[in-house]
Amino acid sequence: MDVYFFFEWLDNSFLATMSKAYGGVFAVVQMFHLLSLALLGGTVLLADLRLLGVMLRDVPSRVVVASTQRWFDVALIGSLLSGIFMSSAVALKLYYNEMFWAKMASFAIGLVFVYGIRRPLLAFDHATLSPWVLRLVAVTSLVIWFTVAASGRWIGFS
Amino acid sequence: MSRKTLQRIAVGYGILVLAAAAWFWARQVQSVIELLRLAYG
Repeated sequence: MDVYFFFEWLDNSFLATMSKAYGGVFAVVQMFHLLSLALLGGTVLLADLRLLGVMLRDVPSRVVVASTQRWFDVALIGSLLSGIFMSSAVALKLYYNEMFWAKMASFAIGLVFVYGIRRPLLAFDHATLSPWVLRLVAVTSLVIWFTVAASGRWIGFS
Repeated sequence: MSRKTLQRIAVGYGILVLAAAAWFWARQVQSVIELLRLAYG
């Protein structure tokens, strides 16, 4: 399925006009994008390193995971909305960028993983789950979100 | 979904993701090395 029409529409949209005409607005939105990414990365690191038993060992892993979930959702919505605005400024350029698609693919894989597997699985009592499965879930989560962040950064170099 | 089924899905998905990520990053690093070779010989 070709999604070029969406990028063409985005390039001609009101968002694109705003992001291209007002550098200040773009900078503020970019700041929110980076803050959202920092928050998202922070929640992922906290929960996954706890699952791996690297940090916060005196706090039950279920408490750490439950506390970070809401902030993860906030960060995800923030990064998504600000990301759409930012990409409107260079929509057609992004369409031809391989790393952009790598980021979108890993982002989609991350969403399926978080909401389809990780969250339902971690809703069970962690003591009843295999420790190796918990570790694999944590490593998978770290690798997915690292790939999202690193391929996003790589867009600037490619 | 039962706990056991979810655990199996998590293991399968995790292995697939880790293998795909290893392939993807190996490819990226390889392309950077090739670029550096072209630039510096």
